[in-house]
Amino acid sequence: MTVSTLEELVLAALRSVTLGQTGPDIVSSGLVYDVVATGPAVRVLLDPERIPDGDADALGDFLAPLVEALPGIERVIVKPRPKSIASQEAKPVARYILGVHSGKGGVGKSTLSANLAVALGLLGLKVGVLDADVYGPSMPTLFGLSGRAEEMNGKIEPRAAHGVKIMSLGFLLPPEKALAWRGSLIDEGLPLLLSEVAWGDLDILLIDLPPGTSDVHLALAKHAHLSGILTVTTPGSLALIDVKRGMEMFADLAIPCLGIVENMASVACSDCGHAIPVFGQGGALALSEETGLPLLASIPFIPELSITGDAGVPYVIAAGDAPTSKSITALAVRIAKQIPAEALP
Amino acid sequence: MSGCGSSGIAFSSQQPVPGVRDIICVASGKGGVGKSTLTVNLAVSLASHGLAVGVLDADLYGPSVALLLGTDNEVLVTQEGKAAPKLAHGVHSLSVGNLLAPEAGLVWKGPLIAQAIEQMVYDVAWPELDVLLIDMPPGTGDIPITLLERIPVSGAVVVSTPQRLAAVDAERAIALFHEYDVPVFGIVENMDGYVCPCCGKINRLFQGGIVELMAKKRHVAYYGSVPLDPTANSAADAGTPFVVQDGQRPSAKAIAEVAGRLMKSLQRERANPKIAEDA
Repeated sequence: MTVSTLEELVLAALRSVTLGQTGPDIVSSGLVYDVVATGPAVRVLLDPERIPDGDADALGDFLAPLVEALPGIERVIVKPRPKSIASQEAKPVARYILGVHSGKGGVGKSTLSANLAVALGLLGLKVGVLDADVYGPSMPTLFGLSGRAEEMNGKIEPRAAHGVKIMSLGFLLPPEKALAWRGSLIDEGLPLLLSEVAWGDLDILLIDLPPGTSDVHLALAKHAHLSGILTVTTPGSLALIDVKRGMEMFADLAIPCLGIVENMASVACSDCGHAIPVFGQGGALALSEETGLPLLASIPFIPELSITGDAGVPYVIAAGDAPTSKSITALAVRIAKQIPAEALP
Repeated sequence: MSGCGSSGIAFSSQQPVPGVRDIICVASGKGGVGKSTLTVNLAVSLASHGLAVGVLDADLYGPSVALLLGTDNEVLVTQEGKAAPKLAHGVHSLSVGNLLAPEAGLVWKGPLIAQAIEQMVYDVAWPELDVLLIDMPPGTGDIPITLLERIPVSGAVVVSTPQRLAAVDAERAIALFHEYDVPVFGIVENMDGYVCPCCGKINRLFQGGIVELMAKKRHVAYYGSVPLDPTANSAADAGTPFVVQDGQRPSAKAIAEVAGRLMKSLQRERANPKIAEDA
């Protein structure tokens, strides 16, 4: 049976609890904000505004045994929902918020995001990058940043490098720590990277999304006010199937896709110059034809993109005049046109 | 018979998988490093050594095993109500790709994952297997945690490309296995270079050496380097693993080497049952 029935079971049990003799039950009154089951572990989130006397612990001690007694439940956590979720109508943090997405990992999405962000900055825009790849945050490496993000006046200061503001979980956690994040933790933690960070006045925020279709994407779709999606793919067919899955997910969430960027299109042999389609060929064009979305750029595989990335100096800065840098800048110009003229409300 | 692999921590909810001797996770941390292609080729190579081999595709978000082995999406159900795995190239396999149309949008919410993973392991009529390889999804999220908590895993093989970006994530994957007391048998470097089909020169794609260094740092065996094989790619995408296409190509030889090392690691692990008897 699906675990959603577990959540329903918990909600039904909680409906039998009322505050005082005659009041409405705690679910109908909104005191219970949500029930989230992760396997047999259940989290009961309370609305912090409605907790009697503000004593969440006392209420938790009362409710937990009730839920624990239900069949199929191994662990119960009762706690107030995070404040960031409480402020549901949070303002978007930038005039345009672009999610950079790929169906599959390892297509160079993060490297491209970093270079695109720097290229947008070089156009004179105020640019931020949010590294939402919670399982493998790459932005610290790509921008050559280590250490922690500092807190100032109750907000986290984003780091800055190469003209771009950057926030990543990599700045909040030790680098080799296994990021064993459960889905429920993602739902709570990711929005904080938007609302609790002092982004300032941004023209555009790039969000480096994790690959695939997961809780992270749903959480961001809910909290990040995504204006659009940029889809990155390699030309091989394995990658394309995953890309289509991702595109369908965002379509379901009513977030438009600006277009497709083909990465790792071919490799030139350093000896004979022969262009070799190492990662397959033709797929992005086929995808573009099938979906009707424009193929915005086709970027060859050049080892220097990866090498400059590992060294923390984005390629568009390390080799600004190279053809690939010019392709990325042209892409930046097309994306900049999407930014609405009016300032943030 | 403990039947519980040899992991040190035995979680109370871990059930042995009937008929399966050793479960090995193939993981990468970072996506797109060629883990699924490597898993499938490794499986075929192990089978060619006479082992009974299965592959379970645990990458629910981006299942590729069905494509790589060229299996279809018609799964038969046995009389006991279990799914019958597919058989191709001498390897038994099951993937979400066998259960769904390729373009179906998949958004697995955390809670659904635990159930799906358990079903794919226990509700499948696996034949007697020496080794079941699990193609893990990238990252260290719900799926790997659920797997490690609920399924008795004997060991892991970690794959990385020679990039700092990938090696850092591979280290995270290693740390996760160690947290669950699952030994990491070896690390494979993938896509270090490729052979130009025109002039035969071996070109580097990334900076070499990083993976071997990381293996040393983490005290894990370095299983070797597998080059990229552009000419084999299109056939591989169509369901013919490159070790099947031609066992003599450099990529196939490298895989055979990895398979040999993995078999030795398994023998060593079996000869040294550690505290498994208490479990």
